[in-house]
Amino acid sequence: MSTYTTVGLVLRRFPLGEADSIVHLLSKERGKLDVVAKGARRPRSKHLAVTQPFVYGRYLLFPGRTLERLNQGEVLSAYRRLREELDYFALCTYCCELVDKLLPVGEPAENVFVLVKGLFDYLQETPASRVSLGNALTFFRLKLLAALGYQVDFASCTNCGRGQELSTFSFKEGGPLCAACSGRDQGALAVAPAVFASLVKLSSLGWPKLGIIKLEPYQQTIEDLLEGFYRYHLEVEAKSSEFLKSIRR
Amino acid sequence: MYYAEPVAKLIGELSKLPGVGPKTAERLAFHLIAQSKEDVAKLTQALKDVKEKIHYCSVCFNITEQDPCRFCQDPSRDSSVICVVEQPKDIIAMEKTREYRGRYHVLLGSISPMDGVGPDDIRLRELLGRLEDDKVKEVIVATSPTIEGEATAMYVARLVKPLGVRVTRIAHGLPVGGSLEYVDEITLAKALEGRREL
Repeated sequence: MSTYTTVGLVLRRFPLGEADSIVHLLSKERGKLDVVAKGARRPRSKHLAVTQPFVYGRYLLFPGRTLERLNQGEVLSAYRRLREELDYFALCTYCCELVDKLLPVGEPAENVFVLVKGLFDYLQETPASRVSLGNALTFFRLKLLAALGYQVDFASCTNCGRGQELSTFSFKEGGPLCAACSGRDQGALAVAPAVFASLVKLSSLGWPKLGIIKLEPYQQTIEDLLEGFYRYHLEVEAKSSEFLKSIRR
Repeated sequence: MYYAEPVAKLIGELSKLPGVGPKTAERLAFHLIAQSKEDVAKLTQALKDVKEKIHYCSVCFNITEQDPCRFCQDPSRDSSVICVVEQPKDIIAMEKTREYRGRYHVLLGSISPMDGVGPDDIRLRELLGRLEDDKVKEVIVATSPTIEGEATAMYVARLVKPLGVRVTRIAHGLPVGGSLEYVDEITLAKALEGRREL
């Protein structure tokens, strides 16, 4: 086994012993990696900055049996705004936690890497007045589902395939149901057709154009829908979700 | 079981301490066995005292023997400034500078959403309570420059600013005696941002 270089984003950092850290790194080529950084919590450690959450860096790693070991690191982008704006911090913490919980260690997931980096770039580079945090959160959740193999078709009924009169969203069936099929799931969430249309539109956009669509009137429904979907199908609940909600209130 | 039960029990208890593994615990246990009865009695008494006599100050949440703590009682300290820190040991670090003569407030933690630690889990409400009278003119946020510390600082600012109290953050910069070429980009950028006139 020999050392290798990868670029990656720090999702999370845990203290280990007196002065070491374990870093959950989302690497571009190898997916999520658990990396031990010796001495990374000492104030003058060369690993201190490169192991900070949200940092994008280039890392020289030595593969271990269970954990990779950090030999060297270089900060490529510190994404300072994510640390210095409370709303951005809350959003990125939530998104990183989702990714951290949903990705298995060592399985390549370049599409997830591109998605997280896209979010960080969007928040770092877009002027504050043009940033839509609600849209960014919804877009991220939708794209993460797709990246993990749970692409939801919001344009047609999951049961009969019709595109008209969509009235509920069934977690059990995994998508929208039209008025005629809504009897299949009594526990389905009532959703206005305009919400489905907005989600279809949002999914087709890229980061730079997120702001052109107004989701505010449907924000609560969208939140219930996506949170319910993550809970039902992925069995994941982020601890940071409460904090994010309290900041956005 | 290689050791007699009391020794094994001592090793077990010592290895619960932070940074102490089984080997170190073993070494410490044998050191204690070799010590005189009086020295061991002093140690056990010190352990008992710290548990029985030390509690949190009802004003600032520093650890103290008397309530309020000596920093809250001292009339010579400036009551118009409160320095907010994460842990009681941070007060000692601030005191060692001999530059600060105001009051303190210990949050007993920092906001860490991924660990489920939110604003309600630290002593923020108590800080706001202390700002109700008009005595306090400035709150200095001296949380650590970690991501959790920064988030806590931003949250404090968000709560305190609307009350008309000045909120300041301690500066970030280069360590004394350090070399510029080994300083990371984030620290250097912050140091540059906080530069001052000579």
